Amino acid sequence: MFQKIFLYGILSLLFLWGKAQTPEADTAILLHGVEIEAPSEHPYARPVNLITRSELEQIPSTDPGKILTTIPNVSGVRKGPAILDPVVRGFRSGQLNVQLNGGMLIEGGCPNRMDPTSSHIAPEQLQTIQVLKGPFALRYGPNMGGVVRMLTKKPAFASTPGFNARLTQRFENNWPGNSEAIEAGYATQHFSGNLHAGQSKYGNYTSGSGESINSAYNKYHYGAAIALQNNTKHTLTLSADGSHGFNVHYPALSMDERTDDTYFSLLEYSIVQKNKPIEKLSVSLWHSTVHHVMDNKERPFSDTTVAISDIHTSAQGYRIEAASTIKGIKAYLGSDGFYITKDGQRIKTMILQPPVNGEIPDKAEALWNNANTLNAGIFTELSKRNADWFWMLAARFDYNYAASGDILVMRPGTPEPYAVTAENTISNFLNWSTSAGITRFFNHDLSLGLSLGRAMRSPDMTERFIIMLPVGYDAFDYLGNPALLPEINYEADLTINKQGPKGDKLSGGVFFSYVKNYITANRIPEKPLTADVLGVKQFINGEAAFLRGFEATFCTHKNRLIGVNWYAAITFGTIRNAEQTLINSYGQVTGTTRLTTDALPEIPPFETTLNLSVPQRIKNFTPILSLRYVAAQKHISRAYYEQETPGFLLINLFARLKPTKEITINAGVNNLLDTGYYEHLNRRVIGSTVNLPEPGRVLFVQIIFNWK
Amino acid sequence: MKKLNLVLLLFVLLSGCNKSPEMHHVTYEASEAVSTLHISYKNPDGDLISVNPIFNSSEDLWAVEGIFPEGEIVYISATYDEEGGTQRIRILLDGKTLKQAESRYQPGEEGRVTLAGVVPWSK
Repeated sequence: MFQKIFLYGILSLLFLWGKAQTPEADTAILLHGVEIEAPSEHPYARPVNLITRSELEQIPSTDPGKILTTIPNVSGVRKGPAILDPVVRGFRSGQLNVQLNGGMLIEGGCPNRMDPTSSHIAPEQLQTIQVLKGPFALRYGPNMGGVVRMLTKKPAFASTPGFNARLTQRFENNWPGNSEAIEAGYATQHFSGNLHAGQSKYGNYTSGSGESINSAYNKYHYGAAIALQNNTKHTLTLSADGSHGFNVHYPALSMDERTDDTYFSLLEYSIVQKNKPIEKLSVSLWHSTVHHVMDNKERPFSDTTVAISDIHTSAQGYRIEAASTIKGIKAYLGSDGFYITKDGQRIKTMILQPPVNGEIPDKAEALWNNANTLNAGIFTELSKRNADWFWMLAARFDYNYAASGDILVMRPGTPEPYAVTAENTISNFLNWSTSAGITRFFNHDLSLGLSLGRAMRSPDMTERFIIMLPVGYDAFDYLGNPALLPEINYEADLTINKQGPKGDKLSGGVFFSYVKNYITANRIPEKPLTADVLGVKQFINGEAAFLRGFEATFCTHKNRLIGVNWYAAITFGTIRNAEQTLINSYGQVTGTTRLTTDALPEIPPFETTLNLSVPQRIKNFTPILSLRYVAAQKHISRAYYEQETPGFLLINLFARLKPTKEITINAGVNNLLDTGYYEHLNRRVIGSTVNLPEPGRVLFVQIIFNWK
Repeated sequence: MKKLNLVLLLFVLLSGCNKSPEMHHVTYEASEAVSTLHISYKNPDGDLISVNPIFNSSEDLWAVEGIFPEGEIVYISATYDEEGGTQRIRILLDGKTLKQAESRYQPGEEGRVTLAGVVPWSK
């Protein structure tokens, strides 16, 4: 049957997409109180991946960023413990919109992204994670490279009043540690409320090569939510959460997280009404704050200078969306916006110097100086489906404003500081983005989709305002640039979905992205403030970058004797006219040169995973064998002196047992052969040229008690 | 009963979320001096304290103790103001030497010794 696909000329490219084969529906549904776009029908041409609650339970990680990497072409930059900064098809940081319910953003305090949005959520809190690749989904805020929506469990209403509770306990041997979470709720037809709390405490892990990695961490979280709903389906939800970390170690950074105190809250109102001009209206207001403290006290350099960075951020925003159907056209219209502030400094105490005026000498350096950014946008999305065709049009307009206090850098040994006055930090942009998609259905078991998109994103806070910190892949202090222009992504995606007569599914796609004004960095003749760096780079708009690749998935029907779930993916990124800093054999900067074409840094190599399972053969017991092969990455950035990464093969075993209705046990072993390896996106350990190794063999067990 | 169990579980869980740092016994110590030393040290409150103990023989010992949380900066700096002075200063953590240094027969500021660091975390 699959030969037919060849006849259509699609597999000649072998550019396929999607692991979860969970494309979007033309209508949102409510699943346990969480709004998602991921039903079984697949009219959208744009690629969507979904990780369900059940899948979340099967992945032994305390970090949603790590869990995201089970999606094809989603990876993460790793600098410390299991806290990954997501990378989707080579897009990262400000190029991605990573959000919680209602479009909520949590602006991390660390300029080096120790604490991306995903680090503030425990997997136990999540109902689902949705990844919308490409610049096509424009309903969820500014989106240039992709949207990652992390949707937590909302209070669910119940026709019969009652309590519910859930207890999750997890143990691992490497990292050695445990995590536990509890939630308890009460629900009626019109009221629902829940409380939750949890903690994780993990020690240092041992790599497959036997090295002990200083990666211990402690986290805990808690929260509450209530929801009210009347007979006419007006729903009001209020939630408040706290997320905390302390003594979180980052061997690939010059500092560790000493404390992180994050609070976020959300107020949502929605109404669903059938056969009315406005079928659904939702309004949400959100707020988040972060207090992040990090220091170098566990680094050798702290013997001479103790550096402590103390950063406060806040973010607040709103989202309004109305949905309607007019002459068969599903229409969404709405507005969203946010305002983010960031302020903080680094205090350096020179502890080996004699007292001055009765004090130990110290120096305060601003990392952020009252930096702030505001974004307000309006969006619309129209779509329609008939028997053979589905089309979608989307557009959004954003006004973006950013400013900072004076950016001053005292130059060692010279009286004149590097200075950008506050009035020169202001920038305003009017960004417009649009996308279109069309899907053609053939014989109910084959569909082809084409998506085209053009999306803009304004530079993020780091790119605009960071003051002298080594935030990049290479060993340079980085300086923000308030004069940066927005990046623009022009992207085309071709997708295919094919279902065999026995329910097996093959799906995938190819993408090509052309990014104009790609933000990179060039060296400038300033003296660095950080020890052991080579110089200073400043963010600039480079020339065009190109990203292209494919994703492919095959999975068998659940009634097969042996279940097969296979996927493969690769992204290939290049940039034109990149500047390379020349460094001699003594590690000294001698000049710069220009590379006609260079690889983009930190792009993951080709990888493929094959999962074999025996579903439903043994009652309440499902074993899974997983093989993951990652190729060597030899397409590396010369401008960033990126290093090649060897390939590796991992074998993982997993089993799920459900002895009673209330109890689920997930257990397994990852990296069965205790292979020594590291991912290409793992940053280098500070003071070495070695990438941060991954854990060796990991035994884990997770027990879930569920009372309803 | 089930509800009570849940509340108890919640309490146990939250009580485990303890980020209070461990406390350690820190001793600043000076010895092997034969004249007045000018010592500055950082106390647990973060204040820099200056003292000028008089040493009459190399057997004399000056010491001050404090309870410091892990991660706190410890600091002592000492010098003498006459030629031919000697000194040995130490920082002890829970009775064991964390850092130590000495200077002998250096004039004035050249004889200054500064010891500093961070109270290490218990692994």
